[in-house]
Amino acid sequence: MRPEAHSNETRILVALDASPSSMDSLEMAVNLAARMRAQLETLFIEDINLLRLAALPFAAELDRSSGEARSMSEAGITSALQAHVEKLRQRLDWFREHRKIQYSLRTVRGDYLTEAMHADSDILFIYTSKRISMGEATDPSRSAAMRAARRRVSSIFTVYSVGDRSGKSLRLAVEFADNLGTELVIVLPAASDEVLESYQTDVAKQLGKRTNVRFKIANTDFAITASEIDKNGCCLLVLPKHGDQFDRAEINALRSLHCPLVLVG
Amino acid sequence: MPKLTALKAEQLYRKCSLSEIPFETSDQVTDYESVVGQDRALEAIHFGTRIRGEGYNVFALGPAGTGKHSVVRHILESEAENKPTPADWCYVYNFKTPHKPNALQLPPGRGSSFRKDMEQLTEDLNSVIPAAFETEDYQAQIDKLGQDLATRRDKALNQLADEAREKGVQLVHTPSGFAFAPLDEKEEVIRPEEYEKLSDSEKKRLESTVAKLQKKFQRLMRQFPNWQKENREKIKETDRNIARLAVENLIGAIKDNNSDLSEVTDFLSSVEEDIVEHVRDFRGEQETNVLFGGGGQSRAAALQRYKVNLIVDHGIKNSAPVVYQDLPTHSNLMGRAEYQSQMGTLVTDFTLIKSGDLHRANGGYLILDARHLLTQPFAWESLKRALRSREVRIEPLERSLGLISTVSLEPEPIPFDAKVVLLGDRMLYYLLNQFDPEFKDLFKVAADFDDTLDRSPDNCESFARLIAGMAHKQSLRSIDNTGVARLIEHGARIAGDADKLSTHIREVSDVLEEANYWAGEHQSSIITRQHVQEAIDGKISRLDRVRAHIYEAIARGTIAIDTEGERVGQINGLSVIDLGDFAFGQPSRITATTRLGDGKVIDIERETELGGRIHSKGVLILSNFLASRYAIKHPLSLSASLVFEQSYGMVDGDSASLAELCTLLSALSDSPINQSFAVTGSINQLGKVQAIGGVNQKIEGFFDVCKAKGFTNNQGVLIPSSNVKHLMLREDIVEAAINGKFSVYSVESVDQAIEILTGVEAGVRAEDGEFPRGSLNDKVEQYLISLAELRRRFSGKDAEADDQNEGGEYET
Repeated sequence: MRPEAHSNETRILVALDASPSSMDSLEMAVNLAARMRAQLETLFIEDINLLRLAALPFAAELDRSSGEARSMSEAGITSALQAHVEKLRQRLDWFREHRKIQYSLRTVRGDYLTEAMHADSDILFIYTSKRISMGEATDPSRSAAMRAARRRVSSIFTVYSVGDRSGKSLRLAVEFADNLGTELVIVLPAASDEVLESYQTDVAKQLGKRTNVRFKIANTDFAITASEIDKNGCCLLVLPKHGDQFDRAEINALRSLHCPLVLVG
Repeated sequence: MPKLTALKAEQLYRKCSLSEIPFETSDQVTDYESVVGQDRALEAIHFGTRIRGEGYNVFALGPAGTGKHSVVRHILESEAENKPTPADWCYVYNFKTPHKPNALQLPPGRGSSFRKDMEQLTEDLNSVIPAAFETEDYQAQIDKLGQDLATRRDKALNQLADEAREKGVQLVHTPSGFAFAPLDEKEEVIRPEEYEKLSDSEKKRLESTVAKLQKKFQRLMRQFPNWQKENREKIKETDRNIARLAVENLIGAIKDNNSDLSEVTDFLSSVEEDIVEHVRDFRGEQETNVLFGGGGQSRAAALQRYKVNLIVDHGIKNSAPVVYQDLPTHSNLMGRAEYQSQMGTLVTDFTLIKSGDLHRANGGYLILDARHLLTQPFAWESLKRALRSREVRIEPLERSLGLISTVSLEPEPIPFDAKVVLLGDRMLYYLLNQFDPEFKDLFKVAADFDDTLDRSPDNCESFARLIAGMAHKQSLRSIDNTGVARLIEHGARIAGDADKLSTHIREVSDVLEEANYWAGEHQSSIITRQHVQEAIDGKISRLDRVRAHIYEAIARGTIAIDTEGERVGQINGLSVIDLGDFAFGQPSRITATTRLGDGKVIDIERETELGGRIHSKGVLILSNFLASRYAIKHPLSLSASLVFEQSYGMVDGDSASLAELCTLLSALSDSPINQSFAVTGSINQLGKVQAIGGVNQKIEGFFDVCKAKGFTNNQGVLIPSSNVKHLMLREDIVEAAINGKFSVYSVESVDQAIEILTGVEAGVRAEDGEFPRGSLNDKVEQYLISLAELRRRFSGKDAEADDQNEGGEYET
C-alpha cells in the first residue's frame, strides 16, 4: 500500500545506539521509507555514558553469552562503536540494494534521547526503553515466516488527541497496521465524555470502514497510558510529536515501554 | 538231448491287444491318470506329508524321467488343499536395535492391508504433522514459552538492575554485552574526573559494589543455560503433545484394525512413540541423511522406518503353499538383504529384505531338486540348519565369507514349519545316507520310485489313461488305441521286459509329442500306431550315426565278423554300446587258442587291462567249469587264450562268458562253430546259462549285421532261456523270424548251445564216467587227457635232466 498523503519530501529519521533493542526500529523505518520513497536518515548516537563508564578504572564489560568480565577502555568502546557503525552501514547498503531506498548515516556523540529529539525530522523512530533484555528467546528451529507471524500478533498503538499532528500520527499508525496486517489500538485520553465523543467522531472520519481497530479509553496521564500499552503487548507505538523534549515523567513512562516508538511531527 | 527249435514270433514280441485299451481315441477319456503304479512311493509321500513328527521330510528317489516331480507336486497340491493357509509375514523396523529388524506374523491376507495402512499413515504424516505445527494454537504455546523464558531472564536481569540502581549503579547495554555503571546525583554515569575526586574509601566502596554486582550477574548468567534447557524441554514436550494428538487417531485406527494382534499393536505403539520423539524430522527442518543411529534424519528416511516389508503374502489363498525352486541357491532359499548404493557406499535396511523359498513355503511344502541343491554352495547346509532349528534365519552369505564389510542386517528369525521334499536319484540318496550323519534325522521318509511296473491289464489300462492325459495336458492331437498300444509296447521295450512297463514317463511323453508332430506332417487329425512308430524310428535314426559307422565297417570287412561258414575256435559274441539316449548291439569276434600249459585260461582283455572285473570273473568261472567237468582224474594241463578281436576299448560284463566257453570248447574239440550264429549269455560253474542285459539290442545288432552282409536264411542268435521274457524285438526281426530268415534260440546250458553251434552232440557222461565216444565233450576230454599226458612226460624228462645236472647230490 502506498500512502497518498506522504511525499518524498518527508524526512524519516531513525535514531540508533549500540543496544540490540534499538535495531528493532530500523527495519520498520526502512519499510516506511521504501513505501514512501523517502530518504532514510540514520542517526547513530555514541552514548556518552558508555564512554564515561569506559574511562573509569574498574569498568568491566560482561559478555552477553557467558557473563565473562572484560576490562573496558575508552578506546575499546570507541572501536567497538565504530565497528557497530560499520556493520550498520553494511546493513543499510543491503537495504539500499534490495529495498531501493536512499539513506544517510550520521554519527554523533551524546545522550541518546536528547540527540534523537533534537534531530530535525518529520517522522522519528526511536527506542526509549531502558529495560535490560537478553533479546528473543524463541525456538531457533522455527522458520522466519513463523517468527514474523508471531510478531504480527502484537498490536500497533497510537494515542489520539486534538491537533494536526494527531491526525498525521493516526494515519501513519493506520498505514503500519494495514501493512503488517495487525490490530490497531487507538488510545483516547479523554478527560470527559464530550471530549471522548468528539475524538471518536474525528477518528471515525479518518478510519472509514476499517474493522481491525479497537478503541481504548485512557487516562490523560501518559505514564499510566504507557504502562497499560506495554501490558497489552505492543509492537509499535505511534505518537504525535509535541516538542523537542519530553518531560521527566514522560521519559520515565517511555522508558517503561518495550517497543519501538514513532514520533510524527 | 532233444533238438532245440527257434523261438516263435509271439515269443519275440508281446503285442498289446487293443482290448486292453479302454477307449478308441484319447478324447473319449475324462478320467486321466496322473501316475501309474508307484504305490510304494505314493504311500510314502502321503505318509511323509501327513505325519507331524520332527524330521519327517521326504526324499523322493528314483531315476530321472519317472515323473517324480509331477507326482510329488500333484500329491502335495492336493494335500495343501486340506491345510490351512499359513500366516503372512513382514519385517518392520526395530526401534531399539535398528540393524535387527523385527518379524511380524499376521493372519493370511492381513499383511497387505496392514502394509497399505502403514503406507497411508506415512502419506498422512507428511501433511498432518506439518499442519499440526502451523496452527495458531501451537504457535501461541511456543510463543508463550519463548516469552516466558525471555520474561524470566529479563525479570531476573531487571531485578538485578533494580538492585544495582538502589546502590547507585546502573546496568547498561554495551556493544557486546552489559556493564555496571555507577551513577552520580543526576542519575548520569559518573564522570571520570568526579570519580577521581572521591575519597579512597568511596572509590573502594563503589568498586566493591560493582564487583559484587558483576559476580551476581555472572551467577545469574550461569543459570540461563539451564533455563534454556528447561525451555527446550518444554517446547519438546509441547511438540510431543501436538504430535501425539496429530497421530493418535491415525495410529489408533490401524490399531483397531489389528487389535487381535498384540505384536502388531506393540509395533504401532512404538511407531507412535517414535513419531512423537522424532517429530522434528517430519517438519522438514532438518535435512541430514543418516540411515541408522542417532542424529537427525530426512523426512523420507524417517518415514522409511514406518514402512512394512511384506515378505510373505498369502492374499486370498485358501490352501497351504507348494513351492518348487529350480535354482536352490543359499539366498534363494533363505532370503537375502539387498543393498543399494548411497554416496558410494552400500547400505541396506529392512525394506530391502527379500524373502526366500523357505519363507514362501512356510506352513506348506517345498520341493527341491537334490542335485541342484547339493551343487549350490552352502545351500544344503543352510537348509539343514533351518530344518534343525525350525526357523529361517537370513544370513548374508557375503558377510560370512567376508566379501563385504558394510553395515548389514540381522533380521529376526522366522519360525519354520514346512515339509521339504527332495527329488533325486538313488545314488544321491544312498551317498547322503552314508556320508551325511544329519540326513537320516532330517529326511526320515524315503519315497522310492520304481523303474518299472507289471504289464498287467489294470496297469495297461492306467497307462493308456496316462497317455490320454498327456495328450490332453500337452494339447496334442487325440491318440487312437493303436497308437496307445504301440506306446505301451514301447514302454515295455524301454523297460527291457515284455512283462513290464517302464515308468520313465518322460520318454513316453517325448515319443507322444514327436508322434503328434508326425501326425501333423501327414495331415492326420489323430495320432496312430504309424505315427508313434515313425517317432520311435525317427529318434533312433537321429542318434544312430555311431551304429551306422560300425555296421558299415563290418559290412566292408574292416571289422571282421563272419555271418556264414564254420570256424574252429571262433565265435560271434554280442555286446551293447550305450550312448545314453540310445543303445545298440554290436557283434564281436571272440577267438580261443589252446596249448599245453598249467591249467590257466588267459583272458587277454584282462592282461591288457581292457577287461573289467565282471568279465574276468566270467572267464574264471568258465576255467573252473572246464576243470570240474573235464579234469576230474588228471590235472588240467591246458593253457588257453581268449580274446575279443578288434576290440580296443573296455570290455566288461559276463554276458560273453557262454560265447567264450563255446569257442574254447570248439578249440579243444577241434569242432568248427557255425558263424551264422551269435551267442550271448553268462554261465555258472555248472555250465548253466544265465540271463544277461540288453538282449533286445544284441539280437537286433546281429540281425542288422546279417542284413547288411546278406541273409543266408539260417542265421540267428542264441540267448539264455531266462531272457525270453525280456524280448520286445523290432518288427522287422519278428517278420524275418516268421519267414524263417532269422532265428532266436533260447538255451539253458552250454551243452545245448554248443550242439547248435557245432552240430555235434555234446554228450552226457555215462555211468562209467565216460562221455559217449565221438561226442564233443569226449573230444574235449580226450584232448585234455592228451595234454596232461604230454605234460607228465615233459615233467618226467625235466626231472631226469635235473637229476643229471645236480651230479648225484640226491639218491634215488
